Amino acid sequence: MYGWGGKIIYVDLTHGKVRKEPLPKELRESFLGARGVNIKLLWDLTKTGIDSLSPENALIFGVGPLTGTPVPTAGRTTITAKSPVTNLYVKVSMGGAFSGALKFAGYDNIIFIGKSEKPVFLWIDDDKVELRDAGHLWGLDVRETDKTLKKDLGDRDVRVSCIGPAGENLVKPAAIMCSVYNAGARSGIGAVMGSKNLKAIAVRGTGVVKVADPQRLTKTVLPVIERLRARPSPYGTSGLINILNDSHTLPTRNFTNGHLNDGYQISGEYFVEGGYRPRRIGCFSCIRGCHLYTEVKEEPYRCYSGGPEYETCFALGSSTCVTETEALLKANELCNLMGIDTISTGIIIAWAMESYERGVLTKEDADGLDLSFGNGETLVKLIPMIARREGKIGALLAEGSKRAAEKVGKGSWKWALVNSKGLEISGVDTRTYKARALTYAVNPKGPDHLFHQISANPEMVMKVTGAKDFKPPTTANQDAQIAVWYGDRYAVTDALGLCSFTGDVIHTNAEVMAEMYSSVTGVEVSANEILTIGKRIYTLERCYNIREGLTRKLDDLPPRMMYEKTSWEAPGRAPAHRGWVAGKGSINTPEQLDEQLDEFYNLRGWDLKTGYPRKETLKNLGLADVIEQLEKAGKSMPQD
Amino acid sequence: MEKVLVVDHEKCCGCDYCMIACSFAHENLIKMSKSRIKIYHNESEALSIPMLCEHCEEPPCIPACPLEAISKDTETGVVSIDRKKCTGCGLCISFCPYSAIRIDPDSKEASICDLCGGDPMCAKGCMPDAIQWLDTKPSVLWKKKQNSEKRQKILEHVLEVW
Repeated sequence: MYGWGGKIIYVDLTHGKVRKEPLPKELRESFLGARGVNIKLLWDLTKTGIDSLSPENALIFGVGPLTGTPVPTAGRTTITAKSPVTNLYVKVSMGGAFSGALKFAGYDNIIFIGKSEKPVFLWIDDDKVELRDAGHLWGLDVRETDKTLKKDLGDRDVRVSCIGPAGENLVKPAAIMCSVYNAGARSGIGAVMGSKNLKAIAVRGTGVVKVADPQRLTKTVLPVIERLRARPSPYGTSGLINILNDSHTLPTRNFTNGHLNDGYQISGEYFVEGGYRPRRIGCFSCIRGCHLYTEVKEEPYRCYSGGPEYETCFALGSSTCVTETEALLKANELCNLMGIDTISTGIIIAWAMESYERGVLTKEDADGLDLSFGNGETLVKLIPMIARREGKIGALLAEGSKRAAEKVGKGSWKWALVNSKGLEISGVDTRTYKARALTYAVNPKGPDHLFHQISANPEMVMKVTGAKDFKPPTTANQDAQIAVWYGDRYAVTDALGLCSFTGDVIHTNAEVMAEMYSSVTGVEVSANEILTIGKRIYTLERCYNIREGLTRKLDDLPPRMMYEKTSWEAPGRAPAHRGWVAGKGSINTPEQLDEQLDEFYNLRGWDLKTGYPRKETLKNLGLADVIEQLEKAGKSMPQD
Repeated sequence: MEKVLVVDHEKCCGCDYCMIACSFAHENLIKMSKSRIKIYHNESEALSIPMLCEHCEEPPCIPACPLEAISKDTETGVVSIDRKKCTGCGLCISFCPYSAIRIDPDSKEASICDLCGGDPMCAKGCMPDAIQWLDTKPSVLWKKKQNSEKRQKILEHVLEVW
């Protein structure tokens, strides 16, 4: 077998049983790996309408066929489940070095079903796979869990993926971590792991990965390395802070402003200049090494940790108006140690701060904490409280923005930055960043950036889609066309195990991905064929959501985006091509969004009224069996 | 030697790509234990220490080998192991100050960096320039020596903590 490890591990936690099965040829060639194979397994293995935190949910880890080969950046792990936040599909992409270890141990996917009676961890030592007691690990933070496992297993080359206290406590924004500081996060994936009493997976992989055509692969990979070398990333994603802040598009003060005074202090540039960033971290096989390692040497915020990324700087920094560098770095460390998503956590805290400012939450509700915007001390105190559900405020915020706003009432849903799917928005104000509005609305997991990075590489987008004058962020004319192509392409990127962030800047288009895939696996595919696989993956994800109750109504944006105009100037933000305002007074009206959705659904072959894929669309993608299953679940599938 | 490998662990991001490249360049497959370079990791402190043969001036591995399988080319300065003579006894490993010799898990022979015959793949793929293939000059040699000593020290720390 070339590329793939060729085996899946099935873990039945209820009965404490582990078995290994081959990864079937049809499955791997129709869905590639990682995100692709994961969704097919989730579709097949879970029943309709299950409770996400029940033993019936499946938690699926997957790596791609390019992982462990000389293809740079092929080190991502995809984790998939039904989300306890949205009750829809969730996949997360995790960096770190877990992927390589799993592949070298000979596996592509791990499936966890059921629930263990007591805390356990899975120990994968090449061929030997067993569940072990994790009683001594329960309650430990992520760093201690990682260290303890390596020490107990007596090998520093063991790679660990685990949850922290947040996952154990079924906190809604809980993450799954690996290599200590790399999060697979958002939409409650860590709570799913916690609900199964699964604390960690430890892997030692010493096996081999084979490549079908080494010479051909070398020929493909050398130019990729050259392109990477031309695009270094000294500040990682946190280098975006100043760019967005300068153009007044950095979501600030719970998305009521686009500019943060002293925002420079929470930027990648400042982490380096201020001596906070001694070195960088590369995920497995990624020579770009964009992840930061930061440290603060003095109390009260003494800390050391991976990150923070742009999303963390925005969510814990600009969104809460905390500009104190050291408080931000400490908050980032705490999120990593607790195993909690920095994005959702920051958005939830910003919602609490606005609620406090408006008198909807009082000091008493906040266990005596001063929830004023900009209070770094409060930020640092709140994170462990949320992760452990401590106090009134910890318990409230641990349920996520949507449920917290429902509980508190008083119209506080208006400033909760979640859309109808129920997930907190990531760091883009779609009112000023018009080109992103559609992709945030249709994203299967909620308003998130990782299914379509529509503006990451305009030159490539124009070349591939034929779109003219694409000048993000304001272009909104061909956004549906671009979003379709991006959605399919990212599905391929994730399924092969590649990094979408770095993939964009090195022009990893479908031709390059098809060539790398064919060289590695020996399975010949064209660029069009591999994009069709991406479309199949994307569409099956949509179908999973439909099975779980998704309708067109859920493809929307947070209320603040749809009903409140921006009150600040955004220099250089010319009106979008449709004439929609992109500077001061801009908004994503439901009418604008409807127009975009119609175009997007049409291009995708989806019914305009329901948002369901037409039967013909599904048949063309080899998903005919899905029609029957959706009809069985009571869905009226649109005719052609 | 006209060119030397200069390794600076402070620039290393720990991605292990050099190990992949090394194994692939020599074996046409990827198996980390077959790589002639090894990165020692401490993930909590994000320390990554690449260790490989330094092709020492006076290699202590040479007298350590009971079978005289290790030699240093007087012209090129490259240290190499004669695979026909090596039995994989591993004595050389304990004498190497750089933890740079490994026993190939399949052939059971000792294996060290051979500089890819003059075009090292590890340096080609190392974007952070933690591994560089540089012209031999006094300044470069000085830097190489400094870096090697630093790496020995930090490796001790990495092997103490978990």
